[in-house]
Amino acid sequence: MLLTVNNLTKSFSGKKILDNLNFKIPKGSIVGFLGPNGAGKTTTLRILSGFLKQDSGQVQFKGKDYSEYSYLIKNKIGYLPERLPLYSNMNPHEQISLAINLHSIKNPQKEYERVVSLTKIDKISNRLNKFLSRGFRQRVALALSLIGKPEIVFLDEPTTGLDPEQIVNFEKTIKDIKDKEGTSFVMSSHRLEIIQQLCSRAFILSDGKIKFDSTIKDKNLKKIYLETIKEK
Amino acid sequence: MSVIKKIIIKELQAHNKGVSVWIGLIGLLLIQGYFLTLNLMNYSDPFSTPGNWNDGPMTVLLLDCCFLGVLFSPFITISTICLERKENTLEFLLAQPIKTSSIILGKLIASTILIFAILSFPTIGIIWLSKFGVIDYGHYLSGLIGLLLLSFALSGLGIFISSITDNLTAAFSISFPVFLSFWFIGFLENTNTNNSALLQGFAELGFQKKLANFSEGIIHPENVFYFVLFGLFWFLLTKKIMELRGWK
Repeated sequence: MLLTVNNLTKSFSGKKILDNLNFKIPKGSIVGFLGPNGAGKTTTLRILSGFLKQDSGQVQFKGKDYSEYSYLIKNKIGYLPERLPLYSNMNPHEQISLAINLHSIKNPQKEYERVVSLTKIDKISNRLNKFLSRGFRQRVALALSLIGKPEIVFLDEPTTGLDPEQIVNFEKTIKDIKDKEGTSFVMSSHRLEIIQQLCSRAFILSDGKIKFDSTIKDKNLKKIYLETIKEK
Repeated sequence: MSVIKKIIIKELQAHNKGVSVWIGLIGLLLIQGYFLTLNLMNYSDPFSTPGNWNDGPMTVLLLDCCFLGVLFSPFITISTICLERKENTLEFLLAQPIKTSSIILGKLIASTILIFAILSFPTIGIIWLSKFGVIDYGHYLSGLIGLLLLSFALSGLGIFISSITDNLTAAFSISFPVFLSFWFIGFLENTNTNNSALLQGFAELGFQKKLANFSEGIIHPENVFYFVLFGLFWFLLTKKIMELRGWK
């Protein structure tokens, strides 16, 4: 198992955001977290990607506890936050090169070519980030999360702000990366159709609890998700 | 070490692309030129005979630079963490396999280099003075060491303030009076009240008296330790704040 989560709990200002979550992510899979706003999707991904510390519970990467190896584990994981972490006064080439340098990768040029080719951003690599469309900004941020060949990448609401064509392209890119490099992805979304298109397994989160955990083909997925949204 | 060097280069390049540093540099040069001229005019007949510039204009000029540093530094330091947090690029840095302390240290050193470069640049006027009199370069070097230590101390404090808020205006509004208070707190030494021991203690924290020593060409080891410890204290507190705010 690539990622194992046991009894994960997190509160903010006395309010429980995550309540005793338990799940496993197998290697080479694309897993989706579905849920309305405030369900705890982003908090879960931020803990899994090492940005936040849980109040209690365990997160293990290949059997190793995050709290003991968080600095080393960062080499093995990628994270694409909902608000894209791009420097407005840099171009994609500069920011990707900076990230490659900070990863201390031995062959930086080869790594640059790899991520640029996977995300198809070679034509815009010299344009300032602030002048790029949302779709291209998303691709640049994805390229950043792929540096160092991570084994698992966390995508927080990756299709926010994309038009239908850009969403289709994004889904295709993720599937290509998974097929080419065997990368696992964990993504969050409040849109069922996107999770159905991309993922093999889905979790429905509501009020910090897992309400549903099954394959995407499970007939109850749509029903339970619609019920969850109605309750909200 | 190489990771810290990469962060330093990234920070310096980011400031180079912004206009604030260049506007600040031009502004400081103009103000410093004005002060230097006033200073020379107050010095009786400075150009008639070869003069000793060390005790008069040079001391005042170096201390002026220190005070301008206190006024100018917030423009550099507020953006170090606060702007990155606001634009979400802090997540980019924290997602890299590097330690949080390396990120803060890189930012601290870059900010120190930048503030020192900007503050020390106007002092080249002192070299021009050597045409008209005797210049003690040891004295000048002592002043530069004072400026460097001040830059380090202000960077440490400024980065800490930048880490406690996500709002640039708030960061500036806090930095400016706090920086100034560390300059003026030294004057409490001269007050005569019942709490004079307490006030004396506070006055010891002030920058002004310590920097006056450097500007006069006197390097006291305790002054050097003070500024180094001051900067390191805020560096460690910034690291703690980032951990407390959940940025591992």
